[in-house]
Amino acid sequence: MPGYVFQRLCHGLLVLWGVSVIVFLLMHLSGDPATVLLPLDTPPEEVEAFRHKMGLDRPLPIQYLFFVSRVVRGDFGYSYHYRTDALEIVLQRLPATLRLAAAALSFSLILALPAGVIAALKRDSFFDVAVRVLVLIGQAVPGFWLALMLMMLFSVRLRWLPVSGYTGWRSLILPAVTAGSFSMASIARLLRSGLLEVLGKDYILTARAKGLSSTQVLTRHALKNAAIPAVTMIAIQTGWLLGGSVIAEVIFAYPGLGYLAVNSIGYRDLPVIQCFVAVMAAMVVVVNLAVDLIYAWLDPRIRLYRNDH
Amino acid sequence: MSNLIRSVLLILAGAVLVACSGGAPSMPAQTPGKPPVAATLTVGLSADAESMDPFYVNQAAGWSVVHAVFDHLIERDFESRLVPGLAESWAVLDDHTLEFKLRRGVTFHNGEPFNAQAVKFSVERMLTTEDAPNRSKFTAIDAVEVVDEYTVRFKLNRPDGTLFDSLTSRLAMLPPGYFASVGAEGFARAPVGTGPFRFVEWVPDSHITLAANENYWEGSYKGKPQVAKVVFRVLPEIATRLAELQTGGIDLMQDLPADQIATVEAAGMVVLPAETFQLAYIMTIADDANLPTYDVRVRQALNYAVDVDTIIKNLLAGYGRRIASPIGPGYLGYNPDVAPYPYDPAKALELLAEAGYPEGFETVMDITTTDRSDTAEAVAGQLARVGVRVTIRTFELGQFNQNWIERKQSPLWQVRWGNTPDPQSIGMFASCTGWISRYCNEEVTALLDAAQATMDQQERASLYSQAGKLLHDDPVGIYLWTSTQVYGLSPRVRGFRPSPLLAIIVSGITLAE
Repeated sequence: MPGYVFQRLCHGLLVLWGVSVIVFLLMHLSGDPATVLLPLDTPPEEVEAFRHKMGLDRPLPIQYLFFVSRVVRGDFGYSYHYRTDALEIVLQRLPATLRLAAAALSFSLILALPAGVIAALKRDSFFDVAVRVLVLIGQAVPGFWLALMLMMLFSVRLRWLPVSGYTGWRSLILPAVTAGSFSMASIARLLRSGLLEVLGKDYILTARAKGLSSTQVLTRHALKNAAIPAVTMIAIQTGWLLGGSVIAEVIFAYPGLGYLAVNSIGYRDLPVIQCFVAVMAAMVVVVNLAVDLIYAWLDPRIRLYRNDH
Repeated sequence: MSNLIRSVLLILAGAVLVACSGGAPSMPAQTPGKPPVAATLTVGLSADAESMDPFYVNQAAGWSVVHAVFDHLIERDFESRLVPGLAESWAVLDDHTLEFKLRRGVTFHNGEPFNAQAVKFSVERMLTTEDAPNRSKFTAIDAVEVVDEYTVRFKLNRPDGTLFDSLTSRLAMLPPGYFASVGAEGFARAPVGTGPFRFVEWVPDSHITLAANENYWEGSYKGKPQVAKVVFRVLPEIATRLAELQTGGIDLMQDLPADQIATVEAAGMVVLPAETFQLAYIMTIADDANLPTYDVRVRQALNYAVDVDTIIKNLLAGYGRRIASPIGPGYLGYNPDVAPYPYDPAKALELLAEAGYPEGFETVMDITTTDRSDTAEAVAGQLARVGVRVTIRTFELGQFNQNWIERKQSPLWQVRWGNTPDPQSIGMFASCTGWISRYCNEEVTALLDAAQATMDQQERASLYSQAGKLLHDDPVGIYLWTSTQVYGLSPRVRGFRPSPLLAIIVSGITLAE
């Protein structure tokens, strides 16, 4: 097991390095940050001075080396736009996004787990059909449309919930439903189909034959084996949610990471974008590592297979 | 991607709002159970301020905060006249010397007195702040001389008639003692000015909170603060701003799109349009002999070919006036006798034929993702009727500006330019020496240079007026319209007056119950 964990860690680091190179290069493909930051009527010599001051006039490989050497020391540079430490800005926004991600994930799991399980157990029942229709809608409805509909109904019409901003837990509800509806639908769908597949397997028949109750069959044999695709989907969705649900955050003016990332791209605020992506990538790597461990626990074949190599 | 989402969203938001208001026309705009917040004015901004340090602010949203917390030596009032601010009077002693008599008894929010030392410090800090976006507007100032506690003189290295305009919004007065004790970063975190409101808090991308400065000096055009607290909320999505306005989350918003006006009015809100000094153009490359637009007749033809009034009526809800030159209505040197090009496609065809393009030509127009694409498409559609077939290319703002700076733009590009009635910046794109200019007319250049170097404002007006006539006849692009800023107000807002500087001046506003 420690070897397996070490191997996954190395993979994670490799991913982080790849991310750093790609992010660094991508940001330089779409124009010069100096032209965004300075007004159009700035004389060329002042633009040049600014570029020099920010190190934007150095060759790209040199800029990359500087970037990496600073990043390993936790220094992502100074935000052009916010005029403060880039890491500080990203870390300031992190709690808000974690809060929203937790709320969205809770929302999707609370609905998806029972919905997926019951739909599989009561296959082709009215409940199953209802779940399938809801799942289809949940996956098909665009987030921004859902967000606006929720806002119009619950905030403008009924006045139950705040329109935007963050003033307490009530501000979390609409963004969480917006951000969580897609994952709710995907998790429910995968759990349902996974369970259906497992329930048709011979060992389930054996378990039933040896007299186990339906609940025991479900919890000890079926769910554990059906969970792998669902866990994968939960992990992918968690990664998305941690990156800040851009649409929910922007529409509900919720000051999280997604909102920060969109703004920073608009301002070409390189240090913040790079820091955001690095922090994001790190979190996704951690989530994936956790998922790999969960896989190994769910299915010993995974960890044994990996150890053979 | 976010821009695509944004446009789709705008359309959908419109549909949703119309659907909601249409479905229940009798539903009153009330807020059951919501306590009155008479003492707090909440303003919805479409963008966050760039900084709380006024020297780094360069957009309307940030100016709204700057004008609340800070004052300037000279101000531009609601009628866009230059009026005394922290300077009670000023005089041009000679071409190289300006003298300002300062207002007495004004203190900064921290109690520090405002005096000649504060002016000297503020100007010197601007000149030495290399990354301040507006530093170049003040480089004519060589030194600031303190004559006495309340008199300063600016020593100039060249006559510069645009300084008065720049002083109205680009050079806020800062407290030297406080600044020295907290440093630039500390100042940006907790700014101190002489303005009608004190800084309380800034949560980037969320809100800015200000509190009334009870000791605000008498006589400012802005007026004394009327509410105890002002909160600027950053709400970039138009649908969100509209929903907040309808539910009382904000009292006042800017950038209301023309197609939402009817909806907002139907919801019981007040709509207040205000013409600004921002002008809309389709610029043309006029300095490249290989392009059709090099020929003045082609550029005139393009102006004749566009039915600007119809676009204003149909796409801008009637808000906007057709312009005749870059010296727009209300500008220093505006000449109402220079009439805009009439819509005359026959004349356009004639001019194109004369210029050697009887069948028209193919060309490209660049626009930014932050500007309207529907107006660009309407212009392109009308040009097609005289045979000028336009392909539209969309760029992100940074790339668009970079193309412009590097002279890599397409022969046509859509632009909005200007925010003060002083035409000081048009030389950038309309003279032989303007560094982003794709146009060269020696006569125009001489007039604009002379206007820049003249301290006498009457004289400047006359020079700009002549330049405006020449720029009409030898157009720098297709002249479109004056932009209108449309505000949405809750019916309880009283005393709001739109500023020509695009900033929201909050100090005169009261809230009725």
